[in-house]
Amino acid sequence: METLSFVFRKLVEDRVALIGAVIILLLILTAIFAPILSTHPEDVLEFHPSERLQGPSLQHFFGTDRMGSDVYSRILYGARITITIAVIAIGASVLIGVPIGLVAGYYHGWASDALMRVSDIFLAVPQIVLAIAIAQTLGPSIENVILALSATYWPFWARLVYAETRSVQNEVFVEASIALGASPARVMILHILPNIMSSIIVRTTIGMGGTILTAAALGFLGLGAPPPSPEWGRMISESREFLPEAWWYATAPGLAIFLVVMGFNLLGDGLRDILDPRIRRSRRHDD
Amino acid sequence: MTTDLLRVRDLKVSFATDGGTARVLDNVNLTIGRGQIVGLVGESGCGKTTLARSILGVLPTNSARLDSGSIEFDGIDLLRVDPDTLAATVRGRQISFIPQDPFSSFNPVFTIGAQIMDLMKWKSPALDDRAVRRHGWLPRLHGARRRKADLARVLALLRQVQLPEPEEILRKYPHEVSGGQRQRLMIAMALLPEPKLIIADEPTTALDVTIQAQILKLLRGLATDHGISVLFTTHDLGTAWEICDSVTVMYAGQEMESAPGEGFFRRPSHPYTNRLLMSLPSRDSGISGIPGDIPGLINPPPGCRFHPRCEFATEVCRQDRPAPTVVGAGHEVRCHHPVSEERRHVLA
Amino acid sequence: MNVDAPAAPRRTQVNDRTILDIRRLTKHFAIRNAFGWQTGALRALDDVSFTVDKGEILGIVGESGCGKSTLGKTIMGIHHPTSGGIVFEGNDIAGQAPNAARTTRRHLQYSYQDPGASLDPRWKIRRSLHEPLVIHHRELGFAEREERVRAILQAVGLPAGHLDLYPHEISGGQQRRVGLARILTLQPSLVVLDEPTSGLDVSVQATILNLLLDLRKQFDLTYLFISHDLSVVRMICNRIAVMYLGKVVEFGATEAVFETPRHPYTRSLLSAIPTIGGARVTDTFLLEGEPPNPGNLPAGCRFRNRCPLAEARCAEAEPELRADWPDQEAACFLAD
Repeated sequence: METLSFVFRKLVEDRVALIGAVIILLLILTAIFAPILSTHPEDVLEFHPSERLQGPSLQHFFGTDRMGSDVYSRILYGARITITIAVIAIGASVLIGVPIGLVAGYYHGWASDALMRVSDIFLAVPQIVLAIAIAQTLGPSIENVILALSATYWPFWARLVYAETRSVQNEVFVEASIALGASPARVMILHILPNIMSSIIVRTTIGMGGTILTAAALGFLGLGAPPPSPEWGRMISESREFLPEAWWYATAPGLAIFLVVMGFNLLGDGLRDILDPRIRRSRRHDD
Repeated sequence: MTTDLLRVRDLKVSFATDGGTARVLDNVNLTIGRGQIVGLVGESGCGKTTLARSILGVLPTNSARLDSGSIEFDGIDLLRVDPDTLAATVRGRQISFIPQDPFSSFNPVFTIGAQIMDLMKWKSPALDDRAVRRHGWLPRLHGARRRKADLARVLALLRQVQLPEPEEILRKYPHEVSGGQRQRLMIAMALLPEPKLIIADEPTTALDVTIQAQILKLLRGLATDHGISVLFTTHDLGTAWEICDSVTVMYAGQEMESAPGEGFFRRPSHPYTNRLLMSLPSRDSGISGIPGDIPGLINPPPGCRFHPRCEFATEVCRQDRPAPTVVGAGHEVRCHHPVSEERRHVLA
Repeated sequence: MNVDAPAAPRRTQVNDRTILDIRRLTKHFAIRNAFGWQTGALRALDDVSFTVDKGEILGIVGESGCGKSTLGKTIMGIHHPTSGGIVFEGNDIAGQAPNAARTTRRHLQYSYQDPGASLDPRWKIRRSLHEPLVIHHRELGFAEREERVRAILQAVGLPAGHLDLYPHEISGGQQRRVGLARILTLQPSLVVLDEPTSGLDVSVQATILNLLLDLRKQFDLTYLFISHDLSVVRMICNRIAVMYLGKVVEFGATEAVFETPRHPYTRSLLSAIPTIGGARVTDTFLLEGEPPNPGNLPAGCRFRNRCPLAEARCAEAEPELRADWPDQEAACFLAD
């Protein structure tokens, strides 16, 4: 069964997923230890106009930006923003989408259909458009980015959980629990949910990558945290007018985004291979 | 030179599993004569399906390993022929297969007619070996005349398996016909290439008993009429009694006894066969089983694998796997202490 | 017959030993077209009536599509009956979902064809065994539940160490025993056994049957034994009901039905069973064709299209079970 040690062991065997896991680990460590790892921690808030737009050097690994701040350090601090947005946005989506999917999947009736139609409506709205609308109304900030992302992302989980609930519902052990007299709540939370958890985990991991990309896009459009916040997307946006001379200015945050998204995707793929019950049949022998 | 169609000699097959290497077939012998219906009987884990698959050449390549032995089919050793030739000339042509579950053998999105006609393109007896190999992977183009001939033959086959309204059936999808009809279709498809041997893997296990009776009757009739040999695997002794000319019983990867039908059921010589017959539900006897469990195949018991559960076992049974001993015409048993007449189970 | 049998009462006679009374139970499933409109009905159960006495083993036999599984599930409340009554221990439980009628249903339990599959694969066995007690007996603490669970585990012949394992870590046969143990924790009086020996090797069948008989004695159980395997039913059931396409076509004491089957379908069914050492079924078996589509039944007797005895009047009306013999009833105009 998918005990933590089993998953861990299999993960180590899958090279590609391991790379993903390592990248994510680095991201987390970077975010935590940004103050220690960065060379110019104060550059998150201060500027040094005299040093602006210098190329990569030993003092500034990725050069400096238009305010003279060290790009490398800002990237490290930017990791914190990235993680915050990703975790909260996905967390909120999961907390909204999963229960809706469970209930809609378990019951069969017009209410279930209605819930799914609502989620369809939300799915039809492009995240960027909704984010722009929210930002226009409420002003640009990280909180609003998270709001926009959650509002458009929860239907993915609702639909996934709905489909999985419908399929697990027909399993013998669920029917057996119902026959024993278990209440719907018990069946949904204690039986169905644990059995669809692996799909949720895989989707969440892969979803992280997408969320980070969208958050970066929103930041690029200026809808995220206002300057001088070291948000990666915003940094790319700022770098536009200085290209192609100040190539490091765009490349560094771009590379960071690329690596992190890749990391989540690889990890998610690897987890899917491990957790998908069709690929891994548990062995039983009959007597 | 023998008239036997198939001779399996000392076949040893092992599977790689998470827990270790499972020794699934241990020096198994099997003989099938021409036009004979041979029953391969055994409980779960005895290796009958693996044996059938070995003959067909469809063992899972990544985990199964053929350790030693030979499978001689009509003079050719199937294990020494290259897999592509085997696939083109033997499998699905000279040896065909009827699976246990007829439903999952059909593609649900194509009509039955489409699937059978497609089979005719590749496996029609009118094709010669070279033609099949040459056009191996190209989609086959057929003239209208050829298609008509194929259709006529398919309809004739469907009538042979007693399917009502064959033209209608060709238009249907697999889920629109019943289990019994699907199994008849599988039999028709197995007969299509005019094979010499049909391997039927528990073909009636999933069917109701009245349908089973019909299918068994059909199978026996067709095999006799066409002179086809049949290898019939089953865990149900009753079906073996019904249609098999000869029965071989297997236990935990070893064959234990092999006898013509009457001899097998009336004069069982192996203790396992004896116990099996005793544990059949019957009015007079109580409900009795065989104490103990079927052994795992990763560390199977040495020597005769039945010895831990055998009331007659002695030291030699633990040491050596018994060699085949002849106890009657066509009747061989592998046991150091064959059952004596007094202890034999008597049929009601 | 090596099962001690109480005297066989009439089919629908309620007495003070009656524990289950099925009255004209009917279950139709709606057949819907692509728009969701009902275009027909699948008549899975029609007008089924019988009583079950405490301590007996009543066999329900038939082939696929006869309705025996639907019968079991409707009794359990997994399906709602279209009409008819189910009276269990004096309470009418027809149409009640299992968790709604928790107290009245507590003593009525259901064992699946593969009891191992009835265990949640992600739950340790201990948790699965505690679950019925958690649902029905909130007043019990962990220690008390554990005590009961261990006692039952012992009764089914499994070691206490299994409590810490997951279902996939034990063999199929042991999973079966755990599944049975789970049902027994609630001290049921009636257990519906759905195909308990299906797919088992013959030697294992015997073990399971012996276990069921032991448990019956130990826990004072009554069984509704649903099976398509007639040889097994013959060994263990006191009375049997033979079903065909949703109706009971024959009913009576097991030996009477097996020795002198009255209904033509029962005769065909019995003659289809291979008997080692006897005449070959493939030589003698005569029944042609297959059962008609249950969504589209012929008028009159449902068996008439395949029946060797069918006459004109068989198409006009559906025969009812008539109790014309000492221990048997058959639903056929022409049975003698």
